[in-house]
Amino acid sequence: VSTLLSPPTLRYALICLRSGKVLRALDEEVPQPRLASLAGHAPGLLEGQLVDWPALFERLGSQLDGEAFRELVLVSASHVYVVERLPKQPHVALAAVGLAGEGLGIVLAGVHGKLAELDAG
Amino acid sequence: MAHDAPRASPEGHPSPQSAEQLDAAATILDLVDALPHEVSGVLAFGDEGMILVENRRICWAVANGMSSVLTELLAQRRDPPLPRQALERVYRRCKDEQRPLGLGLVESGLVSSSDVRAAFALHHARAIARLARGSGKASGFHPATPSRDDRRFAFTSAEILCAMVPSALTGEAHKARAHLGELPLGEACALAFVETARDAAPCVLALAGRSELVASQLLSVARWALGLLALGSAVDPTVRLGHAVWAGTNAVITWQGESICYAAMCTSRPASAMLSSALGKRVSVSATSGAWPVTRARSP
Repeated sequence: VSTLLSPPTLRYALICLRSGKVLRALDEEVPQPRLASLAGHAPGLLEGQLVDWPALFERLGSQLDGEAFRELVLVSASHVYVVERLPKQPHVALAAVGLAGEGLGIVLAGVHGKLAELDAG
Repeated sequence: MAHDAPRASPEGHPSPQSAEQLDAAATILDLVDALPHEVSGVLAFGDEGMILVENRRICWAVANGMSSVLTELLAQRRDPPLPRQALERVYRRCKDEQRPLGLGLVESGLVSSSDVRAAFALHHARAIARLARGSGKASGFHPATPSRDDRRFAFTSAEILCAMVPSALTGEAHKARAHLGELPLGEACALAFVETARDAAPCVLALAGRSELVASQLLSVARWALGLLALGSAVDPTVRLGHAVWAGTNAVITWQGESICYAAMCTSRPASAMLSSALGKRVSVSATSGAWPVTRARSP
């Protein structure tokens, strides 16, 4: 299913959110430089420091579980970057880089499909 | 002709001048939001000044040395400026007849209700900025009879935070409001801000959507968003949008315009998806046309 949903330009890697290192590139032997750069900054990007997010969303009538962000998306002029924590291993994340022209919804559908595949496997 | 940008006041800077002063002003505004609902009274700051609060809305604020600020702000709403004596006659009449000042000013025909609202917001923002430059410590809260003035002339703490925008950024605030007004915000709570050159204190320009957040929360979101965009620019120098999702359906989206940054908090997946999609298209189009500059690198 993930192959059908996933845009052909999307590249994935499993990354460590403690060290900021690529654990395993999922599409090729050597991870793309963009994936390696995303991995290096992912721990900071997902931290959410400076804000008491649970208190903030509680004021907006919602509740938060967990201690940090689960998913982070960056959109640049040319690329979409996604970091998604693995549900069963919160210190490991699926990182993905795709072309911005694919459309944000298509890229996210591909990432979520890949995440489900990893979770099942 | 009405003026949107007030001139500098001789009574001191209208806006906080540093990150510390901005945080101190936000702390004072948070005190207002921490009061119980439906309560009216005076939040006193010893002999430095006071804030009159009604149901968590700021009806009046004053600090030492501000005797002529309101007159000056109201006078400047017209070109040529209104005569001070005419305004002072209205003040005296309101005082003698114990009538609410805002309504009295409008009924005088000298100024419109929007003039009064704008002048009151700037006046109270200056007072609170001044209190923040002092001790910033509330000496007590004294219950009092509710004001009989129009609710249009009472402000949330977030509205007063926005009124602290320096007059040099009034044009940016207009741009920010226009931009936020074009977006499908739905039930989101959104803010626009800039990082001032002087220090790392973000200046909140405009708010849109839901208004439950308190001043210190708005400032903390602005700081987080600036940090995220800076960290994102280290991954890719042309990053202009970040979308972070907590467990569940809560998300925060931040994006950078030409000179202004924005953030929106969404509590439902459809709301965040719709906003991200609309912004994603704008980022691609603007990036292709070169309309948005590269995110400024900054230490996270």
